[in-house]
Amino acid sequence: MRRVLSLVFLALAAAGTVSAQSPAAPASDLQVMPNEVVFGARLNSTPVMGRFMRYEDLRSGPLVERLRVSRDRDAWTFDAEMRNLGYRDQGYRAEFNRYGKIKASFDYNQIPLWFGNVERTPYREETPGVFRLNDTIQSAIQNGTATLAAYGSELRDLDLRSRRDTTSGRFLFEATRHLDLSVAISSTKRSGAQPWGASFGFSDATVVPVPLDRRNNDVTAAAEWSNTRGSARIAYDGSWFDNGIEALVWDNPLRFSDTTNANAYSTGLASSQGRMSLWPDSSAHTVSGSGTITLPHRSRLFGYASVGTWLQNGTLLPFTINTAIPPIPLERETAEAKAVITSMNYRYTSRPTPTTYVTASYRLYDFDNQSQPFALTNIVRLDGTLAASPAAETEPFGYTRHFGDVDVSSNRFRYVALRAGYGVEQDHRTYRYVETTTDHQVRASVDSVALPWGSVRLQYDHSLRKGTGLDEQVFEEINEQESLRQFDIANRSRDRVSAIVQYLPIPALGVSGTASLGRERRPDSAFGLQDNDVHSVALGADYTVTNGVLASVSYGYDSYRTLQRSRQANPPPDPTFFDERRDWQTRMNEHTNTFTASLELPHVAPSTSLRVSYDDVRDRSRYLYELAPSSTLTPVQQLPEVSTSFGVLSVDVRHTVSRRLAVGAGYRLDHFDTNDFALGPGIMDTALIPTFLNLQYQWRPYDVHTVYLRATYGF
Amino acid sequence: MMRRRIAWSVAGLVYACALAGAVRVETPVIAAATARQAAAPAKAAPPKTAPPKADYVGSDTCLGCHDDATKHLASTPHWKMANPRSPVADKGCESCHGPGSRHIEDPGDDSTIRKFPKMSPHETSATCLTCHAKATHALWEGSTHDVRNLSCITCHSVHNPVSARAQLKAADEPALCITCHRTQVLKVSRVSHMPVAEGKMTCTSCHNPHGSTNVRLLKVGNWINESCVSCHTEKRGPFLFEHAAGRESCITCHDPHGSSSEKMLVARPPMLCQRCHIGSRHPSTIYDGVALQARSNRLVGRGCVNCHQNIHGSNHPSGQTLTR
Repeated sequence: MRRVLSLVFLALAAAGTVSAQSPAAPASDLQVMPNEVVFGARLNSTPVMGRFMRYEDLRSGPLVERLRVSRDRDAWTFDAEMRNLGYRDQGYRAEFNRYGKIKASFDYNQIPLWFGNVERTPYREETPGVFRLNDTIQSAIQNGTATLAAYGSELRDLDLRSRRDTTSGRFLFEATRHLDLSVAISSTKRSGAQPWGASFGFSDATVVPVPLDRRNNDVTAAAEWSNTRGSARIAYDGSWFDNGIEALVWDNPLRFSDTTNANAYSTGLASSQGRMSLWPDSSAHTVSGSGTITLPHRSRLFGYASVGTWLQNGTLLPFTINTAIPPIPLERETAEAKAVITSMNYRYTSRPTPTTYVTASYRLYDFDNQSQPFALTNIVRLDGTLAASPAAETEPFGYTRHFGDVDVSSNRFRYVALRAGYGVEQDHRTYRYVETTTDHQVRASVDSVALPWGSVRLQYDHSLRKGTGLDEQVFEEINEQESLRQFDIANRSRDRVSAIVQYLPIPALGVSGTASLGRERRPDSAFGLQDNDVHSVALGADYTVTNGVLASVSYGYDSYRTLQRSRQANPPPDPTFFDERRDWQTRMNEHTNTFTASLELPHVAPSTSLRVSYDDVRDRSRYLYELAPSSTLTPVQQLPEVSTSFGVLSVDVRHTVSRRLAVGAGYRLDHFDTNDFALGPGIMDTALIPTFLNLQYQWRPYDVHTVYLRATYGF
Repeated sequence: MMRRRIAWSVAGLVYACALAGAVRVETPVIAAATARQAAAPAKAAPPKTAPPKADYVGSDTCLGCHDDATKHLASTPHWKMANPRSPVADKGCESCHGPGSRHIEDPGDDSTIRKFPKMSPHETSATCLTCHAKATHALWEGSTHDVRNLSCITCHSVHNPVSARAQLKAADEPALCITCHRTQVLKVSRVSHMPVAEGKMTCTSCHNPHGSTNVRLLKVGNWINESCVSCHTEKRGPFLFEHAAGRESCITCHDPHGSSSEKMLVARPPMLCQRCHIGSRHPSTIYDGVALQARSNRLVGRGCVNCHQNIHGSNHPSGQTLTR
């Protein structure tokens, strides 16, 4: 298989072309008709679904791949399309445009997400969200007369998948030459099941196929006015999320009756069942207004402001489902969670001279979490152990971000635009160890876009983030090292440089190259993520000639390197917490090679066209552990390298029988291979790992051959 | 507080100015101008770069030499006479290219007519913005692409579009965007990705390349998370117990374009989680080959998330560690 792919790779590279897209029917002499139907059949070589059809339904069978109906008149146009009729990834779309009056559109889209059909579980779903095990086996394990392996006889196959169905519509009414009124409505349903971690302790983790039954409804209504001097817009956005299954209940594979003990969070040997909250119902409402005005001297001012609320008032579950633990009173019955979000955006642009362009902007984003703190005295750990709460109440995390930016560019030189800019971002936070961070950025770019032979773009930016209001006591309360700095808000310097070159030696050929380097350092962080480097190089070429020959090729190489530090220890006052000889660090090195190519020959033979495309991604990652000098830790056994190889080859031939009818055949090869210490083949070949009852969900390699027969008829 | 008051005051001022632009005192001069506008089915931008004293000659005159100009244009909204806002309903070719009388006299002089590939990006865009200045195009000026000297014709073609929708210069959005954003577009081909290659999403499912109020040209909301929860609404919350790193930004942990890790994470758990959680006991434990041989539930499968499943936030009173 690899030799075949390598030969194809070389052939396409020699052809010298690039394409990054999924295969489609090639162009031909078929007359373009307002209506078209593409139908046929599909046959693939494997019954093992799952990752091969992650977001598609590629089952064997008859196929109506596309049906399009359109009408184009002087006063209006109508276009409707249907894809993959009857399959789980089918879609329907229609648009109507009465010029100068109405625009209306409708869309129904199904997106499947397939995990696999060879997963297994001993759980039975008694009612939606309630999973039960065989009581006899549960009891035997509790009594010590059986082990987890006893559930082997209970294992049943799962066809594990979910699907997102979105129905949306939009209506725009051009009330006057200057005024538009619009409304958009969308309803998304998510159904099916997905793997869901549900643990009782370190030695008793489980995964269940949590059911999905949720819907999100969105409405946007807007009025927008504009003329050459300015514009104004007001809008309302509403969103309602409803979850039909708000709690998960599942049996403990190791316990049949309830008990409690201080070590239950570790052994899992306490509660006979667990109960977890799933996504609560919520809603969001936002009112916004914006306006622009054209000012003298080629200037313009834009302003935007919005206020929104996020509300979530779900009914709270009890602290535990374990009957052996005395109930803990709830401070209140519902969550009373609320956030008020204020956003503003102002931008001033001006061309004070014909060759000078100035932009200044200010942005505010305030996430004011007004959720009422929930008082905590005691909690229950993993439904097994009653414990004092580490914190006296919940922490409704919020933040306010201020952004300021100024950019000045000069087109003084005919083929070159020079730009310099400065930006500052200041964030204020609650309930994190740093109250305020300020990030200063300077940037410069050179854009040369009108060169006779192509264009060149270069950009460099440097940013420096520092925090104030450091509260190291936060770390002490949660048994973290005081010199930890959470990387997303830690002091950080970042440098990035990127270049894009496009070269057009002849009108039919375009060659482009991009390169970027990024480097982050966190010098004040003794623990946590320290360094993050990203290097990317990509090359591509496109060849187009007027007889319809299209050829393209693209290659990209990405390298990611990170360094993070930790200390393996027990919490204080245990001396290991302070022992530097227990320090360790992880280096992640990841390299990704991406190659795409396509070739389209509209006249490879009389009335016959050919399209070939190939996409290939190969990734290798390594997580390397390093111990401190004079380490007292057990020498490590390094994890194996992680690798994935993911590719699609497609070949399509189409022969035009008449001006309205074309017939064709296609072949597609989907290839996936992986070695992954977490999800690769051989890692979870059984659902009954002693401390981990799982679904056997893993990344399974495949080579799938699919053959298509197609006919295209225009009418 | 003071800063916010100032911000609100400016907001009101800008909004008032915008509305003031719509409210005009009806003087005889304005009334006459209004009457003339009413006679013209659509507004046309006054030529910015055309020299003075040039006259309109009509599209038929233009097509006398440029007979193939409407080959593809005729099927696009720009050439729909029934639309009073379209160029053809106003001055035809000269709505965009300016009056053509001097160009007829001296076709070789570029200054006699608007030739967009030879104009500066800002001047090019200014022509299109005389009509396309609202809805998704309202924030072009000062946007990322505008500041980097791209113009409308960098991506769009009025006369020879390639795409079926939006008159792009490439077959579809990824094929267009890859020209500059090659790294991001190639990421979509990775094993863990959004369904772009499958045709279920495209670049503009998340981004508005014409400008937006959000960062990174995200088209929905005003912060990264608002964009993500517009589809992944179950993670909106707020929750009783928050995961601060996720509430700060979804891209702290996820790469929205694609990655080699499950769930589009930037690294695999537990190493990803150990970038912040180094504390003591099991968060700071080395999960090496020994743990792998034992099939530790903190390493295999989804790692930390095997137990800390409510990683985006929990509404359970005992959900402090996001395990319930």
